Amino acid sequence: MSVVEPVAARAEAAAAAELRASFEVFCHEYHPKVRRFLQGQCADLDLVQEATQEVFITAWAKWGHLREFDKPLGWLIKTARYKLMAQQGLRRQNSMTTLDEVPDRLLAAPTNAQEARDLLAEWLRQLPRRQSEILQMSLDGWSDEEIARVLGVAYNTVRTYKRVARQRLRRIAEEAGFRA
Amino acid sequence: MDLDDILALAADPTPTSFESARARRAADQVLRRYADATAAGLDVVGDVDPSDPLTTVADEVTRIVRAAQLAKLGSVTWLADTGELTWSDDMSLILGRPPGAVRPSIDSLFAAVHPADAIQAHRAAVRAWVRGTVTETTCRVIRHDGTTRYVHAMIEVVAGEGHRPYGIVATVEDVTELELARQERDRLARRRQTVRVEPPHADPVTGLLTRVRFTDEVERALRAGTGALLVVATEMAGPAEADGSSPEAGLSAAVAAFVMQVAKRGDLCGVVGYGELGVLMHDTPLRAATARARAIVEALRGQSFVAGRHRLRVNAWGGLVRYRVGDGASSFDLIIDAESAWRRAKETGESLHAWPQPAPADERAETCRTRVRAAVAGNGFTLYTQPILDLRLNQITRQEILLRPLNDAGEPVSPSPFLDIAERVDEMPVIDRWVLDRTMELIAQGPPTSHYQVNLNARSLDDPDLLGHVCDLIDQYGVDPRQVTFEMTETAIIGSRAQALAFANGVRELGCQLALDDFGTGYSSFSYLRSFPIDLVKIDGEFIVDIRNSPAAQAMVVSLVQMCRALGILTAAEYVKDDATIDLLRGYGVDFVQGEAVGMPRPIAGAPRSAGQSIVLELAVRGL
Repeated sequence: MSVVEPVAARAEAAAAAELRASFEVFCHEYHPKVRRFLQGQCADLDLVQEATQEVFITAWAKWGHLREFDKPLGWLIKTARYKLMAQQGLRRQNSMTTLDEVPDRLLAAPTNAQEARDLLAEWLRQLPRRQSEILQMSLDGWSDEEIARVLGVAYNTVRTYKRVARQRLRRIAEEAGFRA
Repeated sequence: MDLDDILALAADPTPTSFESARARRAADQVLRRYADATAAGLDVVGDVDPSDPLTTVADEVTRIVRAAQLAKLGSVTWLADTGELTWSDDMSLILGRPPGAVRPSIDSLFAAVHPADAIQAHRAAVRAWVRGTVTETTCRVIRHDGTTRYVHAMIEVVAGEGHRPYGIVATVEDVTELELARQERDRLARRRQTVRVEPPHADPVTGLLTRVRFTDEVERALRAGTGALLVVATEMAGPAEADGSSPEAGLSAAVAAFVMQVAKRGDLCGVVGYGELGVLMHDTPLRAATARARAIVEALRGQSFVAGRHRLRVNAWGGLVRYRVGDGASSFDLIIDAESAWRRAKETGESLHAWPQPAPADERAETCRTRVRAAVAGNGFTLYTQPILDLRLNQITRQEILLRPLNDAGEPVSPSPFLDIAERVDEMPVIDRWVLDRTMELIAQGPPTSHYQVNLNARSLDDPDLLGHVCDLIDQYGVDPRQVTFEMTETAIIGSRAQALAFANGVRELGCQLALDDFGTGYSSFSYLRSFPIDLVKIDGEFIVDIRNSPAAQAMVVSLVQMCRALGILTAAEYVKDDATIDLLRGYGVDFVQGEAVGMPRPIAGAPRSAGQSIVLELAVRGL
């Protein structure tokens, strides 16, 4: 016993360290992606931050299960949506002031990827929620079937909204002075 | 740069160094918060669905209903094969019914939808099914407890093997708070558009304060301290140009600009009356005010003005009155006193007459009364007519009879300052009788098919003998009563409503008609329309002049016309200035229009006309 115990403890500690290390790698890879997705849905960075954190806390709680997933980002996005909606629901009950839409403003042309993403997120937030979610996933390279599964919508909804959302986005871009 | 360039630029998946740093920090925070939460016994997983959405095998209905449930939204499912309708427990809660309390069916679902929205909601569902793809709608539901909620529904068409549609799933969210906030935003935006921040201050011809606004400023000054009010009367001196062209508008603007220049900065200048400018010298002792007033009048007399191609000189007289808090005089009284003062100056050959305090009230009233009676006795008025266009026939079928007081030179001038005074000293009935007598004579001479509208001050309607007088005139001149409409000009001082009503009913029994003038401003109110047998409402020109650019005025006129129609009342619009406005009003169902676009008031044949030895400055006195 006295010999086995340290070995078992050491093995356990090593496993824990491995688990933790793998989660850190996971966080490093997916945290920016989840955040980027939510920023296309919500202008309030505090809410985005809180929803992102909650998703990863849940992911850690279920890490043993989740780490087996082929493409865990699907689950992350699905769960992050619910977390954000819950956060927004709470906020809505507390105050109505955050409901004001982001004012239109003319921006200078983006010069790097981050500026382009910020501008795009601002435009996406002007679309109806479902349309912006679908378009955003489509822009990130998800297939229509995958989008339908992650967001829990019909396949033909994805097809329709992808087209409608893209038209709207083009109109918004043109109104902001970015013409073809 | 276009959208595609931006999308390409944004597509870079590499996290920025900032994002990487935040992700590293986030990992630490997540582990710490998880440890804290579990130590505190909190459930961090809760109702999260741990399954991988990408690998879970489920049909579309199951997937959508599950997604709605996780988002705490309601869902309604309809399957085409069986026609069966089901809904989730969350949907029951949205409808305000305990789950299981109502058997789901198309009928029971639409029974909960607000009747006004039911067709639209039904159409949305049909549209989704027919087009085979998603549609969204927002409608109201009436909950079991009778309260109304706004719900948003995303109606999706679900498909199975080979993309064959087999049903509809609606995901339903209670959006009441969002919808109310949206409505409030819309309302505020509309209100910003329709509320006029401030009434126009400046007279369009002279750029001075309007008469109404100037009076208001005098009133404010009166309550705040000591000062003096100067009224300058101007008259063009010398013969008019041989070509008969009118330099008046240009001249009055030039005179106004000159007075403003000579007056001290801080003195307020406004239009007071016909050819009269007011200068309010607040916080100024009488001696200084007198010196300034004299300087203004002398400067005016010494100046030659250029108006168009004309070089002109003016005669000017000044009347000055000093005021102090507690004098008991109103702004209106003060203006009358200053006017009496310049008349005194003119009579005595001075350039300026100054009074150290306002006149005693009875003395002032007597002065006014004397002026009005002298005007009536000396036939100091003339009548104009203005054509009224009947929009049903597109033909001029009516004339409004308008009173014009004559000035000292015997020329017709704008009536409002004079009528203001007459009304103050209760002499309107005398003037109205003068107008009635002449009008009946005129009608008798005119074609029997014409219709005439005559103004009567509400105060005149109090006169118990007026009805008898009208009867006598109609008999005397053999006028067909159906040719006459009496326009009630309402004021604050309607002495006896019962008496006025007796007159109104009386003239209608004779066969005359009754109109309510200036409706929508001043003292007019809906209650008049109920209690008086009004045949015609004349919408105040304030709502008409700029109606083409004013959504607010449009909304008011549309509603007013609609209401009048329902009450069996005709409508007329004044101050119509162009054909586009006429078209707009015709579209609204207005019956009559008058104004610049139809025809300006013209002197009736044989009346004195404005073209003589000295043309008086015409200042636009009717400020809106």
